[in-house]
Amino acid sequence: MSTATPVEEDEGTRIARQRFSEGKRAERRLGLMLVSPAVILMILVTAYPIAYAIWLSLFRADMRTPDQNEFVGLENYVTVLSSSIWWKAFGFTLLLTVVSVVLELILGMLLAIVMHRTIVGRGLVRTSALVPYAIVTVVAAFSWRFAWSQGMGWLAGDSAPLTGEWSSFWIIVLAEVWKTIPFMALLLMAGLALVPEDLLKAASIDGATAWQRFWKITVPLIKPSILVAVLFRTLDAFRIFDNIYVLTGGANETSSVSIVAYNNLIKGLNLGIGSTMSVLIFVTIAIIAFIFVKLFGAAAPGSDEGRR
Amino acid sequence: MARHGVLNRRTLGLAAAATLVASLAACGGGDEDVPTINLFGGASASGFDEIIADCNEEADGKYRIVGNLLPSDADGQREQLVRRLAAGDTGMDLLGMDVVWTAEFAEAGWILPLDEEQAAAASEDTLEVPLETATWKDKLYGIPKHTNAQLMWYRKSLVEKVGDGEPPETWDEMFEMAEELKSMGEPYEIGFTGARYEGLVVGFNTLLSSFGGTVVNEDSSETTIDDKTVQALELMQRLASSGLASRSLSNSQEPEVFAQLQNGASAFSLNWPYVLSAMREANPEIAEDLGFAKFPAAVEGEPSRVTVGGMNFAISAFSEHPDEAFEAAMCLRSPEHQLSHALKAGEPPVIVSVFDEPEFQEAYPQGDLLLESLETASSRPISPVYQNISTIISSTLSPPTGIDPERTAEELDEAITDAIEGKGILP
Repeated sequence: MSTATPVEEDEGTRIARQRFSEGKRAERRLGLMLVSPAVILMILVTAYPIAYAIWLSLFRADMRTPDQNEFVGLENYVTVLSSSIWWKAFGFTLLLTVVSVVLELILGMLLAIVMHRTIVGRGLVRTSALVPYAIVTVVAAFSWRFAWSQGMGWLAGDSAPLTGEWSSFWIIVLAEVWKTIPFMALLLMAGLALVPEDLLKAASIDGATAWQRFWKITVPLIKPSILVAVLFRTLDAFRIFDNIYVLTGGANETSSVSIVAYNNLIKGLNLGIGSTMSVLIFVTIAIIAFIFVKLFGAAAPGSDEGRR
Repeated sequence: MARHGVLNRRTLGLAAAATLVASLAACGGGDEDVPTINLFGGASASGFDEIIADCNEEADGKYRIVGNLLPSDADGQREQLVRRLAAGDTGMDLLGMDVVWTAEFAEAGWILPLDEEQAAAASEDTLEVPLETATWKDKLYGIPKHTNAQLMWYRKSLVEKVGDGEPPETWDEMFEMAEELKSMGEPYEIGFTGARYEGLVVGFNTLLSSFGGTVVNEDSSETTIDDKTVQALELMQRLASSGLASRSLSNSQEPEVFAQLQNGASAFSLNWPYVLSAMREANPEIAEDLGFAKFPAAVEGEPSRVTVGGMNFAISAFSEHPDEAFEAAMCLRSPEHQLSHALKAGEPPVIVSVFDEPEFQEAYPQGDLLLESLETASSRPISPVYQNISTIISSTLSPPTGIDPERTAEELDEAITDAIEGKGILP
């Protein structure tokens, strides 16, 4: 907005500017007032439980031995972080997250392109692609479980894949991927809609192949969508519970961190240890989100230009 | 005046309507003033609804038992009970509890101890070990409902080939016989529940008790792991590595152990009493050849001490009708009802005199032996953190071939001590 010749500020401009900033302030106040109910609600339903979980994690709080409950400081964290059960579950969850998110991204991208490029029956294709996402996870998980049950399921035959560690792992991945591809595809499709058709046509005239057009034009342009989709899915996948709960119940070393936390909180009634695990899951997720947001910030359009 | 009259009439009308609604509501819920005793656990056993109906008739308006459904697996049942008890739910009165839950529920203050009179009534003519499972810190909390104990099943024709036809009395004898059968090319396997689950805990506890050992002391304040534990682990390791157990020992639960006997691989099978009636259906030929004897002893001359299973009734601390709940429980487990339950649902009684009933004897040829086994039986560790202890035992001992007696005993000691100190983690 800077002009070549600085203009002397007269009274009128000053007042106008003041009014303008006053208006802005009032607007901000109104904005704060309007969001405050939501903020208060969020504090009640989110901040309070989180704070309470952190508080509980500092106590020996076992409902089975209520007389022995006491403040133990960080002892619960030492217990959990030195437990092989926790790290085993952590490793399993991490592996599951990486494998399923990668597969979801690839397949989700394919589905997004199909949905984007469909000319005939567009509505039908898009709606039917969303069906897995619309089914309640537990219901879908039960279908998978029965399908993979020995002697009963159409996929299992005589084998019992849900009793082995790696076969269980791949079935969980399958259930998870099948379920969330539509979510991935939907977010990516929103990104695809922003890619200007002219750009692709121009590249095509310049002799770029479809593969080159995809990697050099489409992917850079929809990078923000990809990152958001991957971030959401990573956070979700790391907290995986229902699929595992139904499919294996955590047997054959297939416990995720959420399953272990559930077992200690709900089955074991050990609120101290269980809360500690919940807090650790929360922290892990916060770290993942932080890394992604940093990545995302660096890749946002605009700053991207400067780096190159 | 007139306005007053109108108001009065209106109030009267309202009051009348309210009374009507209230009485209608009462009608919907059953008879007026009859306390409902909500039973959770054990209500879905075959034929149990008839027992409930019987008791309701007997109560004659004193109370009305309603049987409620729970998940079919023990973990699911416990989870639901625990969740509701932790929330102080008054909608549960009588709880059908697995024998290993007593200490946990009692310590948490969720179930009521029986008073002296009630305790006397509940212990009358009742087997000792089931009562032990219902006791925590010298107070009786549970009313034993049914019990169970493993026996040794064996193939008579095979045992005759390697001896005088008498089944082995000790583990050593059993190993010798199996070894001989193996060298003769006959079926020789010893069936044992070695998978990583509660059955492994039951098997280990039986061995440990037979050596005279325990896992925790009486008030579960410390572990009692010693050389007896090492001996029990040695025996289990010997079974696993002798080549005399099934190759799928580490995956064998009761159905697999049963199947190994059914398909002719096992010569000996350590399993629950249901085997006989189930085998008559599954493989009549084997059933003909089936003998049963006491679980083999670990130490010669000392009886084996098998681990009891079963269920106890307990009264929820949040029940609004604890006295009626006690009466209801006593009716549900009366000798007649235990007999019919044993016949219909196959769950052995806890009242000694029922074992003498001709009907029972007819249905349970192994009844006398079962009674004898139950009289020298043992209970699993009685502790508020039993869930942890059980998980620790089954995961530490699995697979049984990996047992290194001294080291495994140390591992158990450390992990169970942690659990007692509130540092246990459930996988």
